[in-house]
Parts: sequence; structure tokens; C-alpha cells
Amino acid sequence: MENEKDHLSLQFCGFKIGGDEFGIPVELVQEVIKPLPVTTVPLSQNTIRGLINLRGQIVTCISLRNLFGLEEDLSANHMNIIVRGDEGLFAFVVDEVTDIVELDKNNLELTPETLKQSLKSYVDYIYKKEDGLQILLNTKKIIKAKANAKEITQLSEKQS
Amino acid sequence: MEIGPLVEELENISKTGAVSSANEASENAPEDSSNLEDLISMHRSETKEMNTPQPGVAPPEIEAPMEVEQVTESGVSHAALESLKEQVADGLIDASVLDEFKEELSAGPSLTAPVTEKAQKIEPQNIKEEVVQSKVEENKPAIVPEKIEEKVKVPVEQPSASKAPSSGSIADSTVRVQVSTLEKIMNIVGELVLNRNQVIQTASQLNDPEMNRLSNQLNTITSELQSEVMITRMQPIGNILTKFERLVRDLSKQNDKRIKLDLSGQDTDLDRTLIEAIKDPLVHIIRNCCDHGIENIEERKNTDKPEVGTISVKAYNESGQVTIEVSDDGRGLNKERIVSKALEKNVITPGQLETMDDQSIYSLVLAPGFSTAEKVTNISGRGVGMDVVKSNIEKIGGSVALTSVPGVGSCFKLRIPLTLAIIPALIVRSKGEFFAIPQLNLVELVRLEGEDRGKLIENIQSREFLRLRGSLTPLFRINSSLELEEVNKKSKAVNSLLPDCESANNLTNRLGSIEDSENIVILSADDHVYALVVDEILDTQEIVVKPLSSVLKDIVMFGGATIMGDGRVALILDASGFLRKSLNLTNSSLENTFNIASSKASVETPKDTLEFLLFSLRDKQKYAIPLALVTRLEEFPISSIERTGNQHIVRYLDKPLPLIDVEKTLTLSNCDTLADYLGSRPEETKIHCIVTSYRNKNFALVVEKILDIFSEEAKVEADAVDRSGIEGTIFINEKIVNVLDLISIVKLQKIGAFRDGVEGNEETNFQKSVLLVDDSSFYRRVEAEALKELGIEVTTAVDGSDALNKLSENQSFDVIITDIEMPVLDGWGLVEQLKEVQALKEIPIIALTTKYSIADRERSETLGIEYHLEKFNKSEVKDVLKIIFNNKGK
Repeated sequence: MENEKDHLSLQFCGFKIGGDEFGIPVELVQEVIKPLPVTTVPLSQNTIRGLINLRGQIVTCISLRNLFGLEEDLSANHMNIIVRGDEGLFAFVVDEVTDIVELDKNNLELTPETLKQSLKSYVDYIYKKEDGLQILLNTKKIIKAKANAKEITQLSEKQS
Repeated sequence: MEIGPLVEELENISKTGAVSSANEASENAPEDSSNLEDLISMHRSETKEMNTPQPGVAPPEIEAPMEVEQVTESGVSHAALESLKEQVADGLIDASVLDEFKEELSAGPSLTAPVTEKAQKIEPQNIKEEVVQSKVEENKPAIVPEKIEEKVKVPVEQPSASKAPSSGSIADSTVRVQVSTLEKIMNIVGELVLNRNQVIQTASQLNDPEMNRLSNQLNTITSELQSEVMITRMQPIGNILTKFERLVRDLSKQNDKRIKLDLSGQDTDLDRTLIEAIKDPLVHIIRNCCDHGIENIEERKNTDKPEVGTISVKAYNESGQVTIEVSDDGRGLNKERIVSKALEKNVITPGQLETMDDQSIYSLVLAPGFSTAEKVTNISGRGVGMDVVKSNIEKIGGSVALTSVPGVGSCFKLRIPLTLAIIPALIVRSKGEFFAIPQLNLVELVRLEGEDRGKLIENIQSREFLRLRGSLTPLFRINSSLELEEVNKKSKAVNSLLPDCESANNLTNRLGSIEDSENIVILSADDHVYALVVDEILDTQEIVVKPLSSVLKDIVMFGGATIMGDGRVALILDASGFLRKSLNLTNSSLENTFNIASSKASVETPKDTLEFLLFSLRDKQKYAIPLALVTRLEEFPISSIERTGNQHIVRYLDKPLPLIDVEKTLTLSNCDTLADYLGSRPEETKIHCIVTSYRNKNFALVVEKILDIFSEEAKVEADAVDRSGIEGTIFINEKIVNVLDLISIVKLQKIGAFRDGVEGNEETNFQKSVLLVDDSSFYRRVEAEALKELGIEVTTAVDGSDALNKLSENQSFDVIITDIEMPVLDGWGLVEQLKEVQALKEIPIIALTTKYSIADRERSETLGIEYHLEKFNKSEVKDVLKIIFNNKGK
């Protein structure tokens, strides 16, 4: 387990969704942008917000709120984090981008079993900060979150 | 130098070499030998390049250097011979090759060049084999071909260099570039194309002349760059075709058959990625041809076929696509076996079978999960059927067609787009969302207005169908198929906070309601034609196809995405994916409809058809005139109609256009229809007119409604006609349609030049014979009838060559009346030939044409055609005949 932690990136890009703080490895983040016009893809799963044109590149936009089974909040001007995936760029829609966090490996915690099902599958570690917790996400799992995302959302809806 | 035979010889050599290496070297040998073929084909193309200057054209002054070079060449050849000897000693090369080589070497200086080439060709192969044998030897042979290559290049290149000294050497003119670099350039050009589109759009909004000029310039340059970059990605298809030679040779050996592979069009260029993509399907098809198609020697002997079977692969460019035809002269497909297999595997139902013709049965071979091979061989029939071929080709936007004749052979026809990266597409909009539809899938656009919507769109159990010229076409609505209502809500919500979203919404409003009409896009995919209703049809654009991320690939309806001129992302509709998805959603009855529709469509169009424009008058009967006579269809508001005397006219192209009241002319109704229109209807009502021209003057026929265009094998029955102005009747979909005689209708008007039209009442009875040449049976019939009325004996011919046949049987025609536009041999061609025959030279000729022009008339005159007339003008023909016969009489 210690080895795995060794491979872990030390800098995380922090952001907030629904009051919780999350983080993704900073080297996977290309940039943070303000929202661009989104083209909705018909018949796509609801976690996919649509496609955006990032300077000539087509980027698939994933709403993390939807993915985590939260209500979509369209009232605020959200930020998009552009993340490099194995097959191109993805944009994560988040509520607010906070800061880059320098990690202290001793404060890492494994994913608690009791975490909400819809969230648990995307979480690598929980990081204990002095003033709260930060959930470290696995971007690959988020990008690959296909049809099952829908089921999970429905499941969580039933649970809640 | 002739390359052909040499190349063949080389192939034989490479074969023997390869086989020997395969036998003794290692298990990797087959792989190596295929690489080896790569090498050889590479070298072959190089040799071709070097040989382009023709031997004869070399200027005399360079003869001396040539000779010197030849000496060097033969020196090289001897060196090569030495190395060959070594190889023989090592047992790598058949001794016979060496003998052959020696022989050619000693044949004299004239042969040295080809021999050197041969040496050069052999060398790379030797390298390969030595590499297999031992890596230590690598250095030595690696140098040899380089040396030779250089020396060969020099003499051959000399003539071209002396011809055009500035062109530089061959070494300078080709550069090896990494494929990845090319890909990158391609991507960047793609971006540039998008950027250009945006600039053009912005420039057109700014309305600044300087900006417009610059953007136009950018447009041209970008287009040029784009096409040039496309060319860099192109590779001759021969690169893969030549590999099949070996494949076929091996397979024929294994199967104890004799098969020859005929290749043509190897230099047809195709996008690199596409070449990769079609390689496996082609291998599959050729394997199939070898295994199942070509019979074994015994069987071929029994059926009087040459022992050697032929598989021919033809590649050529056709209408912006590359077509590859793979055909064999084998036994063809076994219909019974396909049918039984298809039923067994539930590919089709017995009901479907009844409606299928032979060719669509053969096409079942391409259906998923289909393999007829009774025993699985190691060549083909490994459980993967031909459906893989089909799906692979379709994946790259191509199509596969299969035809087969029992006992004669079968033919696969692959159609492949030239490139994938940038394609022309039609942009449509529905519920504010943009979609691009590749032009490749587009058949036509249909717009239904008013009550046509109800009439032409039929409903069977909540599935809609469009009556498209008599055939039922399944109809889908993009709004419901893609749930666009919700999509629009979502995108509005998502984009609500963006500043520029306002303008997009305004745009939708400004374009107004589109409730009163249906815009329909007719698409074809997977051999099916279907209709798709969209809200708006915008324009066509060159779009850059960008792939979708895998998360979205599950939605098979989209083939990718693109960026539009205004920077927004539009999805590219995949016509076949859309269809497949729609078929899944609906039941199999739709598939049946398709079968019915396609079986109807596949009925061969009769050769002699004539297109008619169908319209209705107020007596609710249907009328038609030949489309060839129609200039335009127009609508005029009643307010624009003016009068001169009793004649109604409108201003059209700055000239008065007389309106002809067809109903009145035909005395269908007693009242004056036009006056009726003018009196009773509001000013802005539009009247529908068919603009036609006669003697270079335009006329407009006022009709109630223009219905459709149809083509029909013209059988105009003139028996039931009770008034002049109607040519006759034809049956269309079991309904009678009156065909108007346009010229007599125009003549019946008391307008200008035609007022004179007092037709002679005298009994005309020329006892003459006329040869009537016309390709259209309708015209032929009409003209023949008219001539017979004059007591003329009419012989008909369908085209120029038929006319010549008829003339060879009987030369006693008084007059020849011929159409100008005909297949095989046109009117002019016919006359040219007639004028060369002494006996026929004197026969007067009347040329008829639907497209009357001064230039044509002049051409006729120079050929010695005395009379060049307009078709459908009986009286004029009659007058001319009178003149001819009267002159003759005197």
C-alpha cells in the first residue's frame, strides 16, 4: 500500500461540488476555463453535458454533479476543468475551483466503506486537511463511467 | 526498356528465393518473405520512376556519357554476379537464377541496364535472407544495393537532367517524411479550415470590402493547401494490390487450382488510412474467390472454361470515389445454398424470400452471421463471414455490392471515399440544434407544403411513410428520433448563462415559423432509402470530421462531430447508424417495407422513358407535359398580371410573358379562368405557371397546381382525344393523365406571330416513304402518327446505327427525319455517314431537336442538313415535307 502511495502525485487541483472539496492530480489538468457554449448530444446519458469547442478541439463535457448523483445546478456560473484522458480531452463541470494542494502522504486515508455508492467508485483516497477533508478522484474512472453511471444515479435516487 | 516482363521475371525469382528461405531458414520466414515483397514492390516503383524518360528522347550529345555509364553498369552487374555466386554457394538462391543472370549478362551491352536492375532487385532479397541466416553478415550486403542503386540512377537520370537542367536531381525531389508528421499537418490544416470558415462568416457580417477581399484570399489559399495536403496522404492502391499476387499464388498451389491474378489501376490513389482499412476486407474477398469461386482444374475442364481461372482486381476513380472491383470467372454463387442457409440461420423469413430477386439473395452473403462453407478450410470460412467485409467497408464510409451469374463468376464492387478527414455535408437544423449530414448519403431534398403534407405522408400504425414518386419510403422525424425537444431544453438550460446564447435564440425566432411545410431529406444508407424530416435545411459545407469520445460512441446515430463557421459544435449524423437505431426501435415490419421498396427500386428502369411534369387543372383531371419542354416553374402574384387587349401578361425577365389559360384553350370550362382568378381572389394570391418556350418565345401555362415529376415508359394513346391541344392519354398509377400538345395549345392562342395559324384544310396525301430516326418511343410514335396522317409510309429506327441498318436493307426513302440527340450514333453522326454514301447522299434530311439553338442549326447546315426544326411542331414538319416533295415532283 505504501508503494501505491509513492506513485501518487503530490500536487492536486482542488475544486468544490455541492459543498464537498475534491481533487484531481494536477498533471492531468490542462487548464481551467469559463463555460463555453455546449452542444447537447441527443440520447446521451445524462452525465454527459455535451460537446464544447476548445480552440478547434472537440471536448466532451462531463457534469460531475450529475455523476455523483446530485441535483444539476444551472444557476451559477460553473467552471470547467479540462482534463487529459487517454483518448483526448474532457471537461469536468465543477462548482468552483479552489487551489492547488500540496499533499502530505501521511495524511492520506483509504476510501471509507460507508461512502455514498454513487461517489465511492470514483474515489482513490481521502486527504485529511487541517480544516477539512478533500476527496481525491480517479479521472480515468470518471471518464470511463459509461452507462452504469445512469444506473448508479437511479440507485442513489432510490436510496435517498 | 520494358518493365512488364522484367517485373514478372523478378517476381518468379523472388518467389523461388522466398520459398527456399521459407523452407530452410526459420518459422518466421513467411513473414519475412512478405516483407521482402514489400521491399521488391518498393524498388519496383522506384525503378518505374527512374525509367520514365523514354530511351528514344535522349539528345544525341549525351550519348558518350551514357556509354561510359553503361560500362560502369556492366561492372556493377559483374559485382552483383559475384555476390549471386556466393549466395548460390550458400544454397540461398536457385542455381537456375544464376544461369539466367549470366545469360542475360553475356547477351551484350544492350541488355546491361535491365540486368543491372535485376541485380538490384535481387540484392534486397538477398539481404533479407542473409539477415535471417546470420546477423553478422549484415554489413556487407547492405552496402551493395546502395552502390548499385546509385549507379543505376545516374545513367537513367542523365537524359531527364539534360532535358530540364533546372528540375534538380531525383534525390532532391523526394523526401521521406514521418507519417506522424503528415498526420499532424493534416490536423493543423483541419484546424485552419475551421478557422477559415469562421473568418469568412465574420467577414460576411462585417461587410468591410477589404476584409472580404482578405477572407476570400484566405479561402482560396486554404482550399489549395487543403487539397495539397490531402495529396500527401494519398498512396497508390497498388501498394496492397501487388501483395495479392503472392496470396493468390500460394492459395492456388494449396488448392491445386490454377489461378491468375489480373491487376489494373494500381496507381489509383487513396488516403493512407483507407488503404490500411480496406486491406483486410480485400484479402478476405480474394481468399473467398480462390477458395469458393474458382473451380478446380477438373471442373473447369468439364465446363469448357480455360484451365487457368482469373481473378481480376480493378481499381478506378468514379465520381469522387474509388471503386475497387474484384471479380472471378468461377462458378458464381450458389443461390439454393444461400437461400437454405439464410432460412436456417433466420437471416430472412420465407415471406421475405418471395419478394427478393436473385441479386438481393446473393447479397445475403454479406449479412451478419452468414457462412455457407460446408467445411471450414484454412483459407476462408473461419466462422467470420463476408459480413466482416461489409461492416469494415461501411465503417470507412464505403459500400459493397455483389453481383453473380451462375457458372460465369461473381463480382464484388467496393466503393470507397477518397478521404475521411474533410467531407462535404449538408447542414440542417432542428429545434435549434445543428446537424451535419454527409453528402455521400444524401439523395435529394423534398419540401412539402400545405395539404401535400397530409396527402403524401401516410401513416401505418404510427409509423410514417412518404410517397416519393409512387414508392413508399419510410419516414422518420429527427425531432422525435433524437428526442430533440428535451435536448433543446437541456441545452438552453446549460447555455442559459452564456452571453452569446441570446443571439442564437433570436436567430431561431427571426427565421420565423416553419409550421406550414415539411423539409425532408432523403437519405440512402445500407442500400436502403429513407426520409428524414428536419425543421430547416441550411446549406452545404466542407466539414472536418472529428471523432467522438468512446463514451458517446454507443449512440450509433452520430459519426462524429464538427465545428461550424460560428464556432459551435455540430454533430454529424451517421445515416446508416441512424437507420439501424431506428430499426431497432421499430419492429421488423419496417424491414419488410424496405424490402418491398428496394425490390421495387431495383427493377431496372425501362430504357425508353420520358419525364413528364404532372399538374392539375380545375376540372380535377391530371395533365402532363414532357419535362423537356418545360423551361421553369414560376409563381406570379395576381397583382402582377396586366393585360394587353384580351391577353393577360406578366413581366418576366424584362419581357412581357403571355399567360395561356389552358382551361379556356381546351374549352374545358366556359368561363374565363384567369378572369375568374383575377376577380375572385385576393391580390396576393399566387398563380402557378409552367414557363415553356416555343420559337424562342416564352409562354406561361396557367395551371391550378403543379403536382410532381414522373418518368414513364411513354405510351401515349391518342384514340380518345376529342379536341386539339391534347396529344393523348397515358396511365400513371392506374389513373388517366392527359398529355398536352403544347405546340397546338400555343398555336390556338391568337398571339403575335401565331395569329396566322390558319391550318390548310386541303387533303394532303403524299405517297412517299420516310425514315424516322428517334430514340424516344414517345416522340417516335407521335411523329409517326403525324406523318401517317399525311399518307406517308413511315419506317422507324431507334438510333443512328439502327437507321444505317435500315438503310442498308432499303435505300428508297424519300426523306429522312432524324433526332439530333440520340445514344450510340447521334443525328449528326448519322448524317456524316450518309453523306459519304453515293446512293444516300441525295436523300433530303430533316433534323429535329428539342433544344433548338442557332449554333446547332449552323452545325446542321455545315453538314448539309437542309432543315433543322424544333420537335413537336407537326405543321412545320408538314410544310417542309410539302416543299421537299413539291420540288421533287417538279
